[in-house]
This record gives sequence, structure tokens and C-alpha cells, in this order.
Amino acid sequence: MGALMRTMGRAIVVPALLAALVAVLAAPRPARAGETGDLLALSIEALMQVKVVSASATARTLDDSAAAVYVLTADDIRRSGARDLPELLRQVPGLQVARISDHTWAVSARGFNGRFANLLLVLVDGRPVYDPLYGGVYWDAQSVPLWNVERIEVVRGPGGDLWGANAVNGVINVITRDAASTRGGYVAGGAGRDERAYAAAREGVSLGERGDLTLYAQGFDRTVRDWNESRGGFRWDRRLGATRLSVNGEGYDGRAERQAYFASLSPPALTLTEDGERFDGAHLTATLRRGESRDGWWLQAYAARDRRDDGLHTAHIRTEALEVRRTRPMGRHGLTVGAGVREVADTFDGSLTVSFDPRHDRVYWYHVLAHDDIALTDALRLSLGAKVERTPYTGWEHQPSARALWRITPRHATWVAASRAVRVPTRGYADASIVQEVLPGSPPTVVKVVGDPDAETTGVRAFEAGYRGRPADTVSLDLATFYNRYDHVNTLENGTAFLETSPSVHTVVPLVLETNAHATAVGTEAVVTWQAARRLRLTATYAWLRLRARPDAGSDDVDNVRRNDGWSPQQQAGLLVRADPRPGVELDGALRAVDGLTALAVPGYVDMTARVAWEPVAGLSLSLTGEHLLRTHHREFAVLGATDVVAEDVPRTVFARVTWKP
Amino acid sequence: MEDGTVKHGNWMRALLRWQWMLVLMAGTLVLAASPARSQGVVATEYAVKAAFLYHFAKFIEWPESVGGPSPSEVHLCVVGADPFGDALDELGARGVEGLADGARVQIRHVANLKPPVACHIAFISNSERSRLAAHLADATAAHVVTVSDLSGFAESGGVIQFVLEDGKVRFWINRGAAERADVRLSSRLLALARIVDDSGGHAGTPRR
Repeated sequence: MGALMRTMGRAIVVPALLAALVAVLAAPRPARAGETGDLLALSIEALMQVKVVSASATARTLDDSAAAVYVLTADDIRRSGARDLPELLRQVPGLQVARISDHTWAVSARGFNGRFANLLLVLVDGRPVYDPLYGGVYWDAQSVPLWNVERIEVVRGPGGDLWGANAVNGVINVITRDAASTRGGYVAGGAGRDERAYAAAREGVSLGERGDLTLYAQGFDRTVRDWNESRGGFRWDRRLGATRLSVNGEGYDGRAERQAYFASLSPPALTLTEDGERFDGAHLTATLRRGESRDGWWLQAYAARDRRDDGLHTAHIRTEALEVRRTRPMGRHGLTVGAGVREVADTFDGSLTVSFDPRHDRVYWYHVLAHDDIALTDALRLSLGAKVERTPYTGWEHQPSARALWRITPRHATWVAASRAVRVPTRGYADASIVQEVLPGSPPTVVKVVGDPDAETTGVRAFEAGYRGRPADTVSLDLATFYNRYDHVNTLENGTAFLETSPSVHTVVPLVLETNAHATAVGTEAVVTWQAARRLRLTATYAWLRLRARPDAGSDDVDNVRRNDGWSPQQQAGLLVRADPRPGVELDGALRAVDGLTALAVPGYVDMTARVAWEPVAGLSLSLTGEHLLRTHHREFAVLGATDVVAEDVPRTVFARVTWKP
Repeated sequence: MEDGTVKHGNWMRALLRWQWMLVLMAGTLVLAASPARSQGVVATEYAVKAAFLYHFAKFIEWPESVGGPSPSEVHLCVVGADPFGDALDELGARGVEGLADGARVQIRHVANLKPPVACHIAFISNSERSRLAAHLADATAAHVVTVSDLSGFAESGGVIQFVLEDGKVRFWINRGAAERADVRLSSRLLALARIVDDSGGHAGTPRR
């Protein structure tokens, strides 16, 4: 099946996409007199006679998208009080967020959570931020200044047709503010129970003809595990005729203590170390946009460098990418085509505990994509799309999707979708070797997880349905349900023991990372928002998930695969309260109940976050936020592998913030 | 593992694909950047909607507290994700005929309409459906004329809703919503619009 599909991918899909690309680009462009300037000269009566290009159009807004979408606006972000992106994501229904230790989190959607959860794609301004070695996200290196974020769009369910590999169970798209909307100054400071100091600043200036420029910086120093980080960047937006150019650059430098086991062949075999971990990096991104979202083009190029040194390994990663998309309406169709290429190079200096062979690698990813958004009738829309991607370890992958949305009445809409998305093995799956246990003896025995270069692509076929509507003026409702079938899910297979002579003679018992399992997941997510009064908004969320992962015939993995079943909470419920009791005062609260993780023996918990903010004079805001208030500490996750980070309790914390925006 | 997989040191192949991709992308760029041919009065949807927003300013009178019938500067706010692309940029540079001498349109992007945000006209983006009730309540209190293309907008208490009919932009007006916000719409504007009522409330009843 997989091989056949891939052959078909090469034989049919790629030429078809290329043909579509050529057809769209070569087709005559819809005539337009319509620069706004000309239109302004018309009277309002004449304006009503202007024919608009295509009512169908592409790049549908999220409200009209046939997918489970949740948007956090700048207001939502500010009022959550959250300092860290994963803490903020706890508010999003259907995401599983667990804090492993003070600066490590496990974040996933619709199951398969873990520190290196790799079925969720996280993008910051269109740039994927997962670690290309493991496929997961180092959240401590993604301390995006949240006050500089315009909105965060979270899509649950596959997004491979647009975003490509790893967008299997969801996509988180962080969109930062542009320079024109951040003119003027902003300063913030604070401290808290687990925070020695926090400071942030932003200054945006208009350069007249040359556009707008904003500079920003943020730094913090936490007491627990001495996590500190500084980050600074700029954003420059300018118009070049009808084209808008944005250039954004950012650098970060962070350090933290972390507890991890260090393996050694001489006793003691495993030593709990408190190594200093250091992570730094920078990126430069340039984006060009022309036209508007329904008829225009978009080009993005970026280069990024990331480095992480945790005492057990040092990894240097270099990424460069170029991507282009063109959207144009054609009658009832809104067509989007795109292509892109990404280069990833890394150097990995390991230790006995964790090593990569070879230590240096450079790989290329390419893709083409095509989308058609068809307005069948005014109320019924169909969206077809596919991305065909050439991945470094598994060759061509195709990720198609079909979605339909029916707007039953202006207030009610329902949607269905069927799609396929993939997670491709990363370099870690091919080349890594990670010690799990060292058994004394002569020679000593080392149990290692080793990568398998023949690991297959994990694929999901997802079937989703949802409803979105406003049953009353003050109530909005969003329901989504899904059935996912996964193939080639990870297993750990027993390999054949062998002798190794470096650094000294020892027996290696390999556990080979293969993909010999399958899984099914069903679930439901619901969000109800009620504007109870002008100054009071309540949002209730609920998510239910049932996952069953089983080894394929012939696999010797019995335990590891099945653990997936109890690795994510079966039920999660949340209540968000947002109140403005009087002008200048904001009260926000979040209450969450999370089921236990049966596979990790982590009990369920109820947790609360609260924030109060006061604006004594315009522009000056004082706020106090408490996180994890109900208990002095609680556990949210556990780590099974001996040499991974050690899970810790999540403590109660309170912190204060002062912001000044003249 | 398949044949042809780009992995360790498979340089030539990688390089070839780079070139292939670059040619493809260069082609895309050239075509995408080619100048538009123009014929007839046809325009993109949001360029037309932007022009409408500009015209609305001429046909609305605001109460004294927000600058009287003819404000010297019209604040046009976009709430949520901006669908206009370049289309609004043109407006910013223009004086509005019929308003006080030199009155200009100021474009602002805002997250909500709570004070101290001051807007005369607010375009509420489709990204705001779940927050619509709050925006409308804030707008009414602050005498903001709300405009949106969200379906059901005017019936839910928005002032002006854009709709597309036969490929042309039309608008619906909820007079009750305008009255509650204490703004006056000119009869010329009302004559061009289809008048709708709140579906869920009574016109004229202040709502919380």
C-alpha cells in the first residue's frame, strides 16, 4: 500500500500538480481596474455597480474553514497572564499540555504526547520550529515574547495538505505583530515567586517612505533550575509599490540547570547530574506579499541557526528555506499553488549516553502544493488540496485532503473532512543511539535505543466533522469530532546483541526504533462561549480522547506501543472566566480538570490560574497572576527512559507585571 | 529505503533538485509579478469594500462626544485579522470630501473596541465571530459604526453588513443598531441599503 501510493505519488500526483501550477500561472489574469485609488473616485452608487472578482475565493478566513480551529487573540494572550507559550496553550481545547520540569513541556493534540511529541507542527510566522533531529519542540528555546504576538491560530487535526510533514494531529501558528501596529514604546517589568526578574521593551518608529521599524527585547531569570533567557529582535515592514516587504530577525540565548542521567561503563552506571544546559540561536526571515489574501502571492525565505548543549550532547542546526505561494480566483474556484525547498544541516557531538552516527548530516526537503476552494453554491463550499513533499529519509510523501463546509443558515455551519498526513522519520530515527540502562558485569551490558534507517513514515487517515454556530446572540458553539487511523506507529523491537569495543569492551543490547504498530483514535472537542453580560465572558471547553495503539503481527514490542493508550488524558475540561468589573480593572480566571495518565501513573488533577489587572492611568497597567494555585505542587508527567530529563512537580507560583505603553 | 533518497552526501542529486526547484520558483515569481492587464470596472472584493468604507464616512454623523457630525479625522479600525491587503493603505492618504477641511482617514488595527480605543467606523473581521457579542456591545457604548462581512452580522446587531449579490458588493443596514449607537446615517445611504432588523432583539431596546 505504502509503496504503491508512493509510486503513484511520483507517477501521477507530481505531474498533475505541476500541470495545475502551470495552468494557474499561465491562465489569463482576471481583469482589474481595481486599485483602490481609482475606486475612491467613484460615487457610492457607481461603486455598487462594480463587479468584484470571484465571490468564491481562496484563503478562507478561519471562521469559514472546514477544520477544528481555535484562535487566541492578543487580548486572550494578555489576559491569560501566561509567560510561556505552552502555559498559554493550556487554554486551547483539545491540546494536551503537561509540564515535565521547569523548562520542559510535553505538548500535543489528539494524543501521542511526550517531550519530543512530533505529531504537532509549531510555526512562528510560518517558520517551523521543531528540532529536526527529534521532530519535537524544545519549548524553552521558543520563549516568543507573547506581548509581541498578534494572534495564535491552533488547528486540531491534520494540516499536511498545506503545512507538510509533522502536521499530523495539529498545527500551531504563532503570528507576531507587524511594525506598523507597534509604533511607539512599550516597557514591562516584573518578578515573582519563581522569578528573580523580568524585563521587556519595544520601540517602533516610522521611517516614512522606508516603512516602519520595530526593535524589541525580553529577558527573564527564573529561580527554579536557574532558567534564564534573553531574546531580542527587529521587524521592518515597508511597501515597494504594490508589494509589501517584511524582514524580521531575532536572536536568543538561554541557560538552565537540568536533571538527567549520565551513563558510564564503570560504576556507577547511571549518575544523576545537574548539568547546565545552554541553548542559543538566531533567525532572519524575509517575506514578500503582493495583492490580497484571495488574489496575490506570497514568498518567504529564512535562515536559522540553533545550538543546544546539555552536557550529554551538543547539536548545531542550520536551516535555510524558500517558499512561494500564489493564490488567484478563477470563476467559482479559488486556486492556490506553491512550492518550496528547505535545507537542514546539523552537527551532533554526543557522548556514550546519546550519540548520532554520522555526526554530521545535511538534507533537503522539497514540496509542491495545490489547493482549490470551490463555491458549489453560496452555502456549500468544497476545498480540495494536496501537498507532495520529498523528504530526506523516506522519499516522496503525498498529503491530500478534502473538506466541505455547509453554511446551513447565516448563524450555523457544519463541516466534514477526510485527509491524510504524515510524520516522517527524523534523523534521530535513522542515526541516533540513546542509552537506556547499563547493567554491571564483565563486560558490562548497555541497553540502547538505536535508530533504524528503514523506519517508515507514520501516516494518519483522519475523518473529521464539526459544527460551528451561534445559537443565540451571546452564545457561540464549536464542536469537532474525529476518527483517526494511524499506520506505522513507533515500536521498540529487540535487536541482536553485539560487542562494542569503544570506549571499552561492552555488550550492546539494542532496542531498535521501528514503526511496526498501528493505532486508532476517536475523540470529541467542544467549546462554548457565553457573553453573559457586557463585562463578563465565560468559555467552557471539554475534550475526550480514546486512543488504541497495537503492535502489528510480527512485532516484539508489547509494552511500549500500548503505553500510548494512557499517555494522554482521556478527558480534559476547562472553564475560562473573563470579567471587567469596572473600567480599568480586569479579572481573569481559568479552571482546568485533567484526567490522569494511566501509562505513566500520573494521577489526574484540578488546576487554577487567576489574574487581576488594574490600569490606574491610561497606558500603565499593573497585574498579578497566580498559576497552579490549588495545590503547592502537583505532577503532570513522568519520563520512563532513564537518560531523558527527569520529571518534576509543578509548583504554585505568583508573579507581578508592570507595563507602560505611553 | 527507497532508491533516490537524498541522504548522506548524495550531493549531485540534491544539487540537481535545487536547480529544478529554483527554476520552478523563478518561473512562478516572474508570472506572479507580471503586471495586471486592466479592462472594465472590475476589482478585487476587498478593494471595493475598502472604497465603501471610505464612502460611509461621508454619510454618517456622530454625536458630539466623538467629534460631532463632521470629525476632523475619521478613525477607521480593523478588528482582528485584516483581509484588505494593500487596499486600505490608499485610504490613509486621502482627505474625505464633505468633511471638515483636510479631514483624513486614519487606519488602525485593534484587537477590540474597549476604551481607550477610539474608532468612528470599525470593520470586524471574520476572525472575530466568537467575540462578536463583546465587540458589538463595546461598539454601541462607544458610538462606533460597525461593518462586517460576517454572515448574520446585521441581524445580530451590527450596523452595516456587506453581502455579495451577483458578484457586486451590496450592504444591509440595521437601523436599530445605528440608533442604539447614537449615530445618524444619511438618507442617501439608507436608500442604497437593504434595511434589516435584529432577529433576536427589538429595535430600539438597549442591550447589554
